[in-house]
Amino acid sequence: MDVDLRQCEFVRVPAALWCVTYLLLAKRAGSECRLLVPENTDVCIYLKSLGLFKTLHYNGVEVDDVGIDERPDSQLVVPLTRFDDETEVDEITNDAYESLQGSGLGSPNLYPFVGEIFAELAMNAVQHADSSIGAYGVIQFHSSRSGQRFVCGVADGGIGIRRSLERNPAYKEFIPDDWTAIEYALREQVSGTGDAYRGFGLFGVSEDVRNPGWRMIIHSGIGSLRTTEELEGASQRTRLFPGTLAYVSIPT
Amino acid sequence: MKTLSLYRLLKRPMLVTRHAARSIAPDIHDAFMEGHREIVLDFLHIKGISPSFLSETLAIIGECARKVGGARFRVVIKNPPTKLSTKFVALGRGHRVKIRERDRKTWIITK
Repeated sequence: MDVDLRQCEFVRVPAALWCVTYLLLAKRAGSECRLLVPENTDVCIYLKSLGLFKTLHYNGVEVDDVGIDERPDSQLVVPLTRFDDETEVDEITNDAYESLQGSGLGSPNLYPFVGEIFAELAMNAVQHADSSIGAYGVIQFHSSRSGQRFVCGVADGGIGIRRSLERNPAYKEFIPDDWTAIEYALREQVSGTGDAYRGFGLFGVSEDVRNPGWRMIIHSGIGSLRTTEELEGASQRTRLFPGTLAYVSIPT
Repeated sequence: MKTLSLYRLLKRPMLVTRHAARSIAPDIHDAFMEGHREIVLDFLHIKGISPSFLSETLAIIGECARKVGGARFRVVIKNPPTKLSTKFVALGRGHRVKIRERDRKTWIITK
């Protein structure tokens, strides 16, 4: 299996998470896997600094990054990092907060939000995904002509939101497809666990995203949902993501 | 009234996991066993809390209150790192407790 990025001139965090999830799942299923790196050297350096190439190498995916240097990236708060349990989520979140404090990036009053959002997305992955490849997350500061943002991305190669919610018999008949499942998962007290005290994590994130300029994308199975302050709950059928990918962008 | 300093107990600025909340369960348990019906959770030096952390903390408080034979309790959150937003109010509803903001430095949780 090849993932071909040769013509890519820009790779956003969700796309990098997509690459790692697909390739690691295919590798785990026994396929020979290869990432064809971007011809644009700057994009290559960015992906190497992000930790994508190292992660793929480590898991036996072929990546031809000879001659591509890694460059320290001061805007990368948490490079592509694997986590498997709550303890690791806790450590990554607190390390990220400490790192942000010394970074001078963006508005300091947003640092706790960045940590909380990342932690909730990551906790969902470790608690509900049953992912054979673990979960991966990134926190990055992004500056462009349209403004400055913190971005948090988390992806897993697990069972997806619909199957996770179906573990709770109460929801089975209400969630016929992946896009409906995502909408359900954002509601208050909806959880596949059946525990009355659960189901506030994604709901909380979706409440935070109502702030001006905040954006969220959730992609699970063949469903996706894009939330902004103006466009609420725009879920749709889309191409398959073999697990769940969640991305939140916070303006600063 | 018993005061528990979350930063002293957990030694980290971001309280985000249920696991972290569970680690202070013995301290909350001891406070109830000592007969305190009002507990103060002081978040001084804590910079962020997640709904998951607060949810688990409320679950622990509920368990401890029931163990000592009282379903009713009052918890004071001192120096919360954030304002009382809709997600935390909703979380309170889920736990059948009332959370209100007395002032910028105090939340009151009652059952």
